[in-house]
Amino acid sequence: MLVRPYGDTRDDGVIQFSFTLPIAYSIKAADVGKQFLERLGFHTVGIAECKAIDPEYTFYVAYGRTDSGIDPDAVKGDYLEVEEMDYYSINALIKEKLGRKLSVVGAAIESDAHTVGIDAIMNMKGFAGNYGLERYPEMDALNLGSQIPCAQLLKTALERDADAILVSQIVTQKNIHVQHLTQLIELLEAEGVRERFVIVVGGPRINNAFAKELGYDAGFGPRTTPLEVAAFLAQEVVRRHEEA
Amino acid sequence: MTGGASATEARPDAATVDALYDIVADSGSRSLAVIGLVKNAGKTTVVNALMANCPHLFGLTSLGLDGERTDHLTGLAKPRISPPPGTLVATTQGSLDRSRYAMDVLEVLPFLTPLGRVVIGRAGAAGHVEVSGPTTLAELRATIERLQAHGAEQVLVDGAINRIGSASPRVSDGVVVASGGMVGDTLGDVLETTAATLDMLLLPAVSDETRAQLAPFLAQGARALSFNDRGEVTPLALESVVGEGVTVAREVERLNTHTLFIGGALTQEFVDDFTRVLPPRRELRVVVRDATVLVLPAASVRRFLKRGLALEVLAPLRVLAVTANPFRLPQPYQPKIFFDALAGAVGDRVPVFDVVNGRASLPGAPIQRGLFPTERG
Repeated sequence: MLVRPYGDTRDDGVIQFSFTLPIAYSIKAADVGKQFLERLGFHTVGIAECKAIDPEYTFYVAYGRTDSGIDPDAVKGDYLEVEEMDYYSINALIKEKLGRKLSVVGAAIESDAHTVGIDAIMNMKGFAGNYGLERYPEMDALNLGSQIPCAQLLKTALERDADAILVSQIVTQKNIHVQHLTQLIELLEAEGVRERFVIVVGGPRINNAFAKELGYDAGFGPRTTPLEVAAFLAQEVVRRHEEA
Repeated sequence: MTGGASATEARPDAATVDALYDIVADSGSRSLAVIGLVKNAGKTTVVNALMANCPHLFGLTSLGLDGERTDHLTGLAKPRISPPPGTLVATTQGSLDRSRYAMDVLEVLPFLTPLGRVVIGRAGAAGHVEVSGPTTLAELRATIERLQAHGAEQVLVDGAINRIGSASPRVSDGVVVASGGMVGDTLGDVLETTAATLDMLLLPAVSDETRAQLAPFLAQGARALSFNDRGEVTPLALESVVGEGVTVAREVERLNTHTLFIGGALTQEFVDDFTRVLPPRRELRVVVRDATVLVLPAASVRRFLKRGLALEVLAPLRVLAVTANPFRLPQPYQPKIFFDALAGAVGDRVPVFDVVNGRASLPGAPIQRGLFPTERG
């Protein structure tokens, strides 16, 4: 079923805009803003606010109506569809089906000095009302922190006989995160150990389809909660355990 | 985005593609890995050109993700993929769903990717298909075998970003290297990186004698072996040499090693530590499985060789051609200038093609200009 934006009434298609154009405010400015929105395909455009915020810039608040709609059921997203589980059922699944603790090693690799992502997922305190992986009694989770060379992450994962490796990449210049992420996979392949681990990547510039392109088993983007990652790890490690 | 669209939707030049295909066909390769030195190097354009112009039953798969409308990373339009009817395609269920491509599925493989199971089907419908094959190299090798079992005469493996793993002789038996304007910030960078990468990919094979010496140890899965002049062969007590550059260098000195075999990866950290500890002018030959285990910048391999250390491989790669794509942001290079420069940097080691602008440089011949009647640019 098609849905349209809800403004004042259902399906009226009305959207509120706020934007800035690099033009000096003048009597003409309102028409410039209006015609710009009409070019984008909106009609019944109303300029509610049009003000100079600088001698060279004009800020707008406007309303416009669209005839376009979208069928949410037809949208294929770039996120991983993980079967929802709660904290207790994840622990129970690991205990029952794996029969030992699930071992996870995580790090922000190479030049990335930002732990915010890996901490949100792994730290015991957790994030977004979820406990992090360290809190799970059935997980043996080690967060190595930031700026961990790929080689060190690999060695640690081998020493601990880890089931899964979590990699975080937050900050990137000239897309250096891509080099780091493919480097880790090439290293694991060259060492002949790629298949020993479930390898997950997360970060603000990551989605699940991109994780496929990079050679990872799953990718998590912004707004991911520890629960989603924990559910995926438990399900995937158990699946591999049962198929082996 | 419009700049990307015009660069990526370019039509291939038929005569040049034929010339490239002749080289691939003459090589006897049945699984061709097209690898790129960078994203947007032109891998998929080469794969598309071969499929569209050559009378062959192709199999098609990708180690990455290709044929989607726009690139996740750069937002640039990517070349769409419309395989000729009959082409055997290995992609994922998720990619089929996303591209809404109708395909008779012949087989569902057990490999699970972030985009669902890998499926093999026969292209029939018009339209564009997103191609994303298996995730790991072992799965990729098995997928190629299944494509061949379904009748593919020539399997094309589109690479992933800048990964070179699919070029390993354990996976494919021929390699085309896609280089382009996006490889470096300046033309000089592009040429240097391309030449250094070729040096790395074309590392020489070990002698038959060394191979015979190594054979029994390889069968036992050796990770690091030292050979010395007294005929002693000593396995180093290491699971992996990764992170052990200092230890290995000291062992090499202690054992008076002349040939060192490394069974896994060679990393930047290892090379840095190893060469720092090893005395200057120490002669040593290092043998690795194949060039894809060198997980370090090609320039570092060059420095390693310049230090007088020899680097050899058990399984050499068959690099059949280099392709030149003048595209870059914000402005593409002038095709002729770019091609001539790249062909000059590659020299006569490997043929170079620009399949879109119709240029070719074949070894043994001077750089050919106006070789083909349809030449443009």
